[in-house]
This record gives sequence, structure tokens and C-alpha cells, in this order.
Amino acid sequence: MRQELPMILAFIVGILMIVSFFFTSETLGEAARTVENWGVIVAAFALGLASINLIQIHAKKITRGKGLDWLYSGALLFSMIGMAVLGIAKGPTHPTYQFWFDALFVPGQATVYAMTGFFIASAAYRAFRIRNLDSAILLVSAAILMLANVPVGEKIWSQFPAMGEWLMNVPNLAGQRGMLIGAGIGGIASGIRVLLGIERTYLGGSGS
Amino acid sequence: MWEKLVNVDRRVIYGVVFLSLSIPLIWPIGFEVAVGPETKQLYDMVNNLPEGSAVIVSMDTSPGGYGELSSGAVALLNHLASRNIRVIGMGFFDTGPSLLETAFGASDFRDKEYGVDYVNLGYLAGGETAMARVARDIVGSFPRDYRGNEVSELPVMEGITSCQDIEMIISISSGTPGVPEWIRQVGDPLGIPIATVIVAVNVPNMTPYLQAGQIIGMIPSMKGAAGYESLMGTAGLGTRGMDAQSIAHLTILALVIIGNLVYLGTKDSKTSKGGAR
Amino acid sequence: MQISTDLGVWIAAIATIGILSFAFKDNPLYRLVENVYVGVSAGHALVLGWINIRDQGIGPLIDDGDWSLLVPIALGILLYTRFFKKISWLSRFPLAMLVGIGTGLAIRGTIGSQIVNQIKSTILPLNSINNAIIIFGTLGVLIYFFFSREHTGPLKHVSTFGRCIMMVSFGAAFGSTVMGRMALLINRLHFLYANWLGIIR
Repeated sequence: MRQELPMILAFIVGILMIVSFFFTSETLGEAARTVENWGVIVAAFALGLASINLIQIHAKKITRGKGLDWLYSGALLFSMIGMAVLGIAKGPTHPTYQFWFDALFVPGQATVYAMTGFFIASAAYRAFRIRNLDSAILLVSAAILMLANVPVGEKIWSQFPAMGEWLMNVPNLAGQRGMLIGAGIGGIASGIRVLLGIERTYLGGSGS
Repeated sequence: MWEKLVNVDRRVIYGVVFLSLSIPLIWPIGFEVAVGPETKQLYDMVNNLPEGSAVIVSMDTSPGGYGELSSGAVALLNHLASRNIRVIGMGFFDTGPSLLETAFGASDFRDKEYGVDYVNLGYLAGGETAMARVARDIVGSFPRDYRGNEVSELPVMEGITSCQDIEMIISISSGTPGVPEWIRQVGDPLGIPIATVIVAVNVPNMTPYLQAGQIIGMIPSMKGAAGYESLMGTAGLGTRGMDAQSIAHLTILALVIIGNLVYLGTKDSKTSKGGAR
Repeated sequence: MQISTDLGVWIAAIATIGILSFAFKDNPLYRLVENVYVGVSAGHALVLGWINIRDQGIGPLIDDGDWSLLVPIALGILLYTRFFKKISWLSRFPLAMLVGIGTGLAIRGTIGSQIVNQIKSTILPLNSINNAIIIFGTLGVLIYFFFSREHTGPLKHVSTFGRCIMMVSFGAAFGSTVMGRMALLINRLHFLYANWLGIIR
């Protein structure tokens, strides 16, 4: 029952979402709206889960960690609790809140993402090899697109932008569309498996 | 020699990339910027919007993606401000609304009246579920805006109840939920035009939607921002960044070529020593 | 043009340099900045979660007396039973609800947007090479992933063509990724040179 009841719940709400879309019925529409609204509220609760996990992990690190772990974990918990208290008490548009958001969060995450620029350069040097026809096609199309996407490409050869556009809008379009349709069919198939309870890993159990 | 080149320190490569970006930023070259057709399409679409009409600007990104999208977002917001279009801002990433505040502050909307010309409705949890809800009922989904005002009392919301009262949806997007979810829940079922300011990684995935008319325009990454700025007759970070972007692309291509030459060199030397596998 | 005197810019610059320093070597400043930003990020999620619960759940429950909202609030609270072993199974109910809604919404949207409309847009007149590439390329990719029949004869050629087309798409993806990553680096370097050091505009 601990598995079956949640599965039945998933089936009912899932089918409701699908049926209410394809059939015009005031009752079904109203039910779907209510369930959607409930989903938003439940999803909002889920936002706190990560914080509990972080508290569990980093509280342990503060007491039992090595070296400077206490400092890093302490800083993490302090900044988390500080932001949460400030935001809940004063609101997320309060100047002090926005100040810390802009001064710490934005540059921190933006730079972590930006660092991948260095890593991709290193990977381009070490791993991007022409070993066969597939990798040759991949490399040539990447090179054309990289030149087509920047003004210097046009300076080198005036046809690079046109080539890049063709590559993007013809063969790339076909490839992406094939994968999009394939993923769509696959997504629907696995969605049906989830709704029918064949696939239940999301409940923490094994598959079928 | 080949061995040395194979084992070159990764920091040397990082340094080369760093210089290839820094030098053109400090000493600009001034390459002329080209405008892509999908960017021009969006520009024309905004130009044809009736004055006073409303668009949704959905900040569907985290700060990680915003670094790439900020210049395009600001250029587009400036255009919307100049055309007196009402902007209904929202976000489906929890970081979206705060980034939207930053974008409004960096654009010409800072001189407009909040609640009259633009609004930041805030964040709604649930991803695609939340989008489906907004499609039917905007005010019901956001009873209070990000700044704590009653949304139903704001003049900017006059005549707007659902997405059907919106002229266009612009998703400033770097992931999920983003453009495909907007298309699935609003664009296709309600026939509302969808446009996007999007990170480069996702640009190839957008081409099927563009060709099918499910997206009506796009500002792809900093390159798209530079194009939009040139259409607007301004020069923001997009335009200034294009020189560095150009040199960086040449550097990466050079690294790929050198990497392949080294690969061939080591393969040949191993063969000549009888050690090829 | 001169160096910034804004405290926020200085903190952001130190955070940026702290993270960038990882490219050289792992170091305490990097670790500190990384932890602080993760903390701020988690705190921000808590704030936004609370605002949603307040505006969508508790507010209407108290102000309008909408008692039906007790259901999602109770389900939301059940999510946290996962931290208590004995009753952790109760967290499956809210999870099942979220999965059910998400799956239902995705299925209904995918049929129209990702399958029907995409197929419709592929049905093009066979009057140009480009259209032929789009039609047979799409078909080739689909056949490449069709494992129910062995790829021999004409099927093999179509699937090989599909594979080549996919390689072009992956190349385009790599080219675009390089463009994006460089744009991100430009953004951070521009911040350091313009907003912090003031050596460029």
C-alpha cells in the first residue's frame, strides 16, 4: 500500500491533466486548475529540502571536519541563514538583500559558469581529434559555425556567415528535429510508464 | 618536442584564453557587427507592437546564464521602453525575479514608473506546472508582486487576466523551464507568439521551433545582443564584447588545429619507433 | 575612469577573482567564496519558497477561508518526512502528485508541440536540395534510433545519413557552446576591467 497509493495518486492527477486538455468540460477544467494550484504550493515546499540537506551535511563538517572545513561550512550556513532571515523579514527587494544577491550570488555563480570557458579550451586542445569521418564532420561544422558567429569570420572569408546560417538552418535543423521528435516519443512512452506505475524509481523503489 | 606539446600545462592554455579575451577588451579592434535574421525578426515584431500593449518578460535563468544574456535582455528592454510597451515581468527560476530587478535597473525602465509601465510579478514554483497556471490566470497566480504590492490594483495590469491578453512572451532563457515549456503550455495551445533571449548552448535546439514558427524571434547570446544593439543604434556590452569573442574563437580554433597536429605528430613518431598501437 | 569605490563592486570583484583563482590552483579563497555563494543561493531558495507558500497557500487559506488549501499544505509538509526513516514513505504522496502533474502536462504538450507541429513543418515540397536534406535528415535520425529492425539494405544507408546529420548538429552544438562560454568569460572580465578597475568603459 505504501507504493500503490502514491502510484494511484500520480495516475489520477496525470490523467486529469491530459483529459482536461483534450475534452471541454467545466468540471474537469476546474479540477485541473485546482490540482495545478496545489502543485505550485507543494513545489514551493520542495524548495526547502535542499537547505535541510545542506544543514545536515555542513553541521557535521563543522563538528567533525578537517582543516578549514569548519570555516567553509560555517560561512555557508551563516550566509544561508542570514539571507533567509533577511529575505523573509524584509522581502527580497529590500536594498540590503538585493545588495548581497548582486555582490555574492551573481558574481559567484556567473564566474563558476564562466570558468568552463577555460576548461572547454583545454578540452579543445587535448580531446577534439579527427580520428574518423564522424569526428571530421563534427569538427568542420563546429569550426565553420565558430567563424560564422563572429565578425572576424566575415573578414577572413565573406561566405562564412552564409555557410554558418545554412549549416544551422538545414542539416542542424534536420538533426535537431529528428532528436526532438524522437525524444518526444520517448518522453511520452516513459511518461505513460510512470503514470501506469511500471516505472516507479521516483518513489524510491526499483523499476517494474 | 611532441611530448612537450602533449603535456603542456593546462594553465598555459588558460593563460592564452585569458589574454585572447583581455587584450581586445582593453584595446578594442572595432569589428563591424552583423545582424542575424532571427534577431531582426524579433526587432521588427517589437516595432510592430501597438503602443501601450503588454508583453510578458520571463526571466528563466540563474546568474550563471545571466552573464551571457544580460546584454541582450537590456537591449530588448530598452527597445520595449522606447516603444512604450507594458512589461509584465516574472520568473520560473527562483533567481529570475531578482535578476529581473537588476535588468530593469540597467535598462531605460529605471526612468519609467513601476506599476504603471512595468511590473515584476515574482517567482512561481513548479516549473511547467506554474506556466500552465499562469497561462489561464495571471493575477490569480501572482496575488502580490515581487515588491509586495497587490497586483490587481496596479494600473499596468489593466485589461490583463490571462496570457490571451498578452501580445508576446519573451523568455530570457538558459534552461528548464524555458522556451519549450512556454511553447507547450502557452505558445501552441493559445497561439501567443514566443520569442527568446537565449544562451548559445541552446541555440541549435531552437532551430526546429524557429522553422516551425513556434518561436517568432531570437537574440542568441552576446552575438545576438550585439546585433540588436546595432539595430537600436547603440553600443552596449554585446557590441564591445564582439572583438574579444572574435579573437577567442580564433584562439580555440588554433588550439584545435595545434592539438590535432600534435596528435598526428605523436602518432607518426610512435609509428616510426615501431610503437604504434 | 578610476577604480570603483563601491563596496558591492569590491565584494563582487573579490568573489570573481576568488573563483577564477581555481583555474590556477585550488585555494582557501576559492573554497570560501564557493561555500558562501552556495549558502546565499540556498537561502534565496528558502525565501522564494516561503513567499510562494504565503501567497498561494497560507494567505488565501486565512484571508478567504479556502480550506481546500490545507490539502497541498499538508502534502508539502509531508515532503519533509523523508528526513525521518520510519515515516519517510509518506513523502511519496507529494512526490507522486508533483510527478503526476508534471508528466500529464508534459505528455499533453509534447504531442502537439514536439511531435505533430514538428512533423507538419517537415512535410516540405521536394523542390530543393535543402528541403530534401531536412526531410531525409529528420527521417534518417529517427531511423538511426529505431532499434526494432536490423539496419541492413536501404535502412542502413538512411541511418548512416542520419548519423552524419547528427554529427553536424553536435558540431553546431560544440561551436555554440564555445560561443556561450567565451561570452560568459567576457562578461566577468568586463566586470573586472570596467566596473571594478575602471580601465575600460
